[in-house]
Amino acid sequence: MIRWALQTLWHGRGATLASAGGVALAMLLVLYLDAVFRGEADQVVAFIEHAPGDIWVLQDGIENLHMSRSRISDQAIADLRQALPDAQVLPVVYRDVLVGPPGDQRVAYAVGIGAQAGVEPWDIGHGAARPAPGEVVLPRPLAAMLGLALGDTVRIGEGQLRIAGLSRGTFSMANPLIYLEEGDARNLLKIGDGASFAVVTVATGEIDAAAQAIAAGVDDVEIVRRDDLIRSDWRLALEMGGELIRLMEIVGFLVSALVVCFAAFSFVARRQSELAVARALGASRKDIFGAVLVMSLSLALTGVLLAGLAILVSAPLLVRFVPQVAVNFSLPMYGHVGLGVTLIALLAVLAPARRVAQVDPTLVFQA
Amino acid sequence: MLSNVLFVGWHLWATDRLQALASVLVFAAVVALMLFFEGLRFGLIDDLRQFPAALPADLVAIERDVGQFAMTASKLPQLSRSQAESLGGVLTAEPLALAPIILTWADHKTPSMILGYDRAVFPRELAQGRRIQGPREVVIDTALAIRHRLAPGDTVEIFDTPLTVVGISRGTTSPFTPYLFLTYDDLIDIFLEADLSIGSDDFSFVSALLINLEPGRPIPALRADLEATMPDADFFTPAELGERDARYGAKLLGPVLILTSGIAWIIGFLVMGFLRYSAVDARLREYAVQKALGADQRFLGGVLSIGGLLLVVLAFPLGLIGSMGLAHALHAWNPLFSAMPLEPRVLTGGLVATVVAGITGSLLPLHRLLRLDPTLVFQR
Repeated sequence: MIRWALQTLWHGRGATLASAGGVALAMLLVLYLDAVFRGEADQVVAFIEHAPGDIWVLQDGIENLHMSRSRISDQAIADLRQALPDAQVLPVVYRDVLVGPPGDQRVAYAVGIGAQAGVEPWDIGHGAARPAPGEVVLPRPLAAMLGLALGDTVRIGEGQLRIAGLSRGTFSMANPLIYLEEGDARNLLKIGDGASFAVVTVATGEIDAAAQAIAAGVDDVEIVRRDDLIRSDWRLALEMGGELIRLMEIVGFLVSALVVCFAAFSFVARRQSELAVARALGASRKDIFGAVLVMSLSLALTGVLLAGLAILVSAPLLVRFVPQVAVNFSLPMYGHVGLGVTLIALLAVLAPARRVAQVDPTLVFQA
Repeated sequence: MLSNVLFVGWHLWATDRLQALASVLVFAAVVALMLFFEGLRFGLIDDLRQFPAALPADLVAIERDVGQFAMTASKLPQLSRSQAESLGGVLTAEPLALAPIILTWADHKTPSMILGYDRAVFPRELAQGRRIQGPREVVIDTALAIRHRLAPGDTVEIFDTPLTVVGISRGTTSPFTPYLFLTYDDLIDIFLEADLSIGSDDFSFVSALLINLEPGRPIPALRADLEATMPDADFFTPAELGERDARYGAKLLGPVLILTSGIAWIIGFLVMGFLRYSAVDARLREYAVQKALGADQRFLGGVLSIGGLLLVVLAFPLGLIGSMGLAHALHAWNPLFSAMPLEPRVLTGGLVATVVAGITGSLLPLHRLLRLDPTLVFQR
């Protein structure tokens, strides 16, 4: 019966491929939506994840970097250094700014890079990672969207800076990161003194004590642990738009499940007469179930394989032709969706299989 | 001939009722998905347009080169109001202060926009309660109220200042900047008390000016005069500003929305085509009977197309209802977002895609059917 099932699949190659194609497309829908969600949400917290530090000291009442403007004073930074003499304290100038010519501006987050290392772009595609005065490092997709290349001049806020570097992994729709020399950042963002926030690095196991020391010694600041800040920004990103993409993903999954269910069900249901013949010729219920499950499994696995191939082909094309959208395909997600699709396909054929297994063998002669 | 095509087409399509019903449901689900995703794209952009387009003014002044009302901070010189009002033909110039905040209340965080106003009537429409009449009162957008479980009479804290919610506004939802309304004085007090400078040295409490002209004064001429008098500002009609915000939103969100919606369209189209092809292909022998009985290519093509069209006729209305249900569920789940599946461009696109996918999927096996040996039908 297994051989017969495989032969049936091969004999009706057109219908097999069409049904497997339906399965693959349904799976692709979920995987694409997940990749968009993952790409955008991951990118919102990329800066925090790549920056050093265990504790982030922000303006009192501010618990997010994303969509927020924090400001701490020189006095707060001095108090911080005094409260934690052995810790590394890195004041950072960081704020949203308009990039591009009037009429074609985009909002980006500008990071000022000073003498202290720590917040430079982590992956440079072309040019310099540390901008000199009068220079800026832009994410490559942002430069492409503005039609600019290395060495060109770009308007940042009210200034004009030369593009000295193009970074990778620093762009998303909601959170593009640009890097300026600290003096330029202060001038253009109009942050004369103090900083936007400070990143504090302490010795392992001293985070709690350091947080207490900051709370006791520094006024008007918010003390946020790195993990909490990541969680807080991630949550904000989710509430801002990530949840929407997640909802689209859920809707996509439900529709996909229905498509997979239908593709597998109808493929097997259309072969009920042939299965009934097999039953009339002495095939046991076990044989019938085995054949049906093999057909369904083959369809599902072909679909999963086709979806994988489609992603392999389309992912580089997306990066090339739609650089504005951070897309992050996930192998574990592919595995989960593939497993889900296979299970749905197997469950979907149980009903027609049961019908055939219970069928009166004489049915075949009525056809 | 046509009646024969219709009869045979219907008969062959509806032979297996369960299959036919299941295929209608699956087609409808795919149609609902496509209409919902595309409707979402239109809904988000439309929401961005609504509030600025309804500002109560003949002209709105914002910082030069900023170009949008809601999505980017505009700052005008503190003296801009008196500059505008000194110009002949200007009746009033009402300052507005816009301050972005993250409203953190009732276990939700929502980036929002505080709008501080002086004499103008804000908000234009109230869903519940009343407008502000006294100090420390706030009117909040409906979506924010639902999301943060606030109602008139409740207290909400903004920068540690307790404010009484006195009204819930309508037409003030924006996916990324739903509005809260405070008096200008309260906004300044709250920010000064909280020692907030909104993060920069150049924060201005004049973000925009609502300029109303004396009756009968032509807008274009006065706009030119205002531009000459106030070189730091750009002047737009509310409709222009709404359009600019919508365009900016489309530019910002467009790639993601177009990608997700495009994926849904392409995949939906292909799924419908594949499923229809697979359905026809699996029943090729039944169609071959017609060929064995002398049906020509036109007849067979007609029969196959009728099957596809029947599917579309039954599935599309169901899909439309499904997409409206999804839009309703989305709004109930998160009132900041809305989908517009009934937007004519969405409906037209969805209908065309469904018809083309249904007919193309039906006709693809036609070539094979025409080459089929008529004796195949007798092999059963």
